[in-house]
Amino acid sequence: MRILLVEDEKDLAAIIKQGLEEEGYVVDTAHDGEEGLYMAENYPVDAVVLDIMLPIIDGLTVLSTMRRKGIKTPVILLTARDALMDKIKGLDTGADDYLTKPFEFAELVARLRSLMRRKGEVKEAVIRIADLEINTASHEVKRGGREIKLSAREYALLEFLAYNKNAVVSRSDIVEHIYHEETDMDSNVVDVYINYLRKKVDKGFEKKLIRTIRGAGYMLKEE
Amino acid sequence: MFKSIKIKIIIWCLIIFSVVFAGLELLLYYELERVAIGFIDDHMESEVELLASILKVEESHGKLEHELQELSVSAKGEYAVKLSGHYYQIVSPRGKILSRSPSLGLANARLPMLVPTEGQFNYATITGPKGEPLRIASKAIHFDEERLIFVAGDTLEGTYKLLNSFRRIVLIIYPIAFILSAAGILFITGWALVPLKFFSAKISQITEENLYERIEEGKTPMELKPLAASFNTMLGRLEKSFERRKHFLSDASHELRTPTAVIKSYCDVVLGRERSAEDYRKALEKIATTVNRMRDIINRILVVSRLDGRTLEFNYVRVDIKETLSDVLRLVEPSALCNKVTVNLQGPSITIHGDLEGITEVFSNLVENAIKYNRPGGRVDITIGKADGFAVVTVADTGMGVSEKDRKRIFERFFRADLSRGVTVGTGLGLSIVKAIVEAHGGRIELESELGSGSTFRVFLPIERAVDKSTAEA
Repeated sequence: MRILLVEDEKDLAAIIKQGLEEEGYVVDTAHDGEEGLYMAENYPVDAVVLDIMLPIIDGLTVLSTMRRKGIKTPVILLTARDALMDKIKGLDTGADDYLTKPFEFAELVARLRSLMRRKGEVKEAVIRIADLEINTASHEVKRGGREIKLSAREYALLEFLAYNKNAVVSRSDIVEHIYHEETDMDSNVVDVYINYLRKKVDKGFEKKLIRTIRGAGYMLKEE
Repeated sequence: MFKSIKIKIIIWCLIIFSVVFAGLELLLYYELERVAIGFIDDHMESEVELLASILKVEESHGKLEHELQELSVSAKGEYAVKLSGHYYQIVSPRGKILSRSPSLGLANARLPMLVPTEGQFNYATITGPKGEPLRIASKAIHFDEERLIFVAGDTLEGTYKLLNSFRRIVLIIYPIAFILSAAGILFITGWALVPLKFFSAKISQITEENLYERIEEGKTPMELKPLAASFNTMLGRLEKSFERRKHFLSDASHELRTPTAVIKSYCDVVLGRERSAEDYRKALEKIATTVNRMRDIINRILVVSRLDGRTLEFNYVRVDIKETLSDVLRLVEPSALCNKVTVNLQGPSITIHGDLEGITEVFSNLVENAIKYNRPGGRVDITIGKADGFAVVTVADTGMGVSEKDRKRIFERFFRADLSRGVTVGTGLGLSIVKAIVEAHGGRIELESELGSGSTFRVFLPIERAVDKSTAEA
């Protein structure tokens, strides 16, 4: 999952980025509204964490510009003011959620997860595909009740496929959403990780869940 | 209780009423007595004159002696009734009763002798023969043979009865009138104080929450209008200062939330999993820097609120502006070097009367800003001058300048111009503190700026200590 973090307070941006990356997210940061808007428009991000008080262009303007341009990426607003009118205004402008500084980092992560689920039409923290269970909160994966140990990369890939279950995702989609822009990633690496996942998830099971769609990409499917 | 206007008015009105009423009644009483007795006196005078004229006629006929004896016999009516209260007697100067009314004769009583002044009536009030109050009048009248003294007496019983009933009536009327007027005054004062009650009810409704409310001056009576007006002015001032406080508080808390969020996030993320000692050290360093920043913010908030509440004590001394500026320049030298900014100071040495700490704060804020918001390789020119009793310090930079929109707000608390370079270090309080200190000294600050071509701050400080505004107002 790729997150865009727009926050002018550099120390805060750095620690949130670190925390989110440790949670397995890919994080891009922008330090002002102009840069943030550009990245929201041009980067394939899954969610935006947007501060309201920003230099050059303020957060609410960034948000309304995004919505006007038809960018439906879920947005969590961050603000130092907790006046009710600010919340209402933020939500009315098109924000999906709202957090007041200082916030619990765990709450930010939980809200991001909840946004992801809403986006992928998954309602629970645990995504179930046939007998495969993916707990997006604890990052635990089980198949047929047996726990499967996955590396962070493998988990991120499986989660991405699960959020988009029953839909085809291309190799470039996977690269964009799972890996950071700075890592020069050959899309063949995706095939390598898919192989790792197949060994851990599908091997020994009659029903194969991870499918290759020739010329298009991969799909996680129940049937 | 005696603090009540109503009670005071009532007491005073009743005192005035009592004095006037009592005075009036006494006047009436004595006037009545005078008139009544005067009436009796007139009556007796005419009696005596009548007797005397009869005797004069008889004397011319040589029958005075005879007539004197006849007189009592011919007396009729009241004079014939024993102790009727109406008497006369005629006495010789030696005290011998020559003739008296039967009313006296029958009782064998005599009236006391008055020695009257020649040719005039003399009066006295005495106790009569039957113990009644008696008014007597006497006059000496000359006849050919001798001088006779006429004494007439008339009872005062009727008069006293009249006066007594008058007194009784007054004593009955007085308490009734007293009670009636007390009730009237009570009603009137109550009625007159109704607008005040309305006023105080209105005032008591006003709390911190509805300071925007005002007393309708149009509806208040004329006498209370100045009170309503000054009350409304006071409300206006209170509302403004409350609003400012509220705003300040919310700004201050907002300003503290961001560093708090930094600390909180560091704690949450770093404590989220096991880490190396190095990671913990780095996190703690970050937290320490942020805490220092928070301390600066809190200190400045304190300075601002003290400046606001005028509780900041200025210690006025002689301050050499050039020396102070040189000290400031030494302090900011590292940051100037770091930003590759050249700082120049020129102008004469001027001594003013001011608070050294405050003035230093003013200059260091201005010079620090000029360096911070400058371009690399830029200049800061500081010039000292004099104009109209003011020392003028000009701090000109070659930075990005301030837009017209921001120029108006730059001295406001917590205001920060949008800075494209992302320089957001600072509290947003510096310039508001500068302005407050300069104004507390009786000076002013001006800003001239053009976007892209630098800003010039001009500080005017009075050379002699200005009279403190607050004491001047008082």
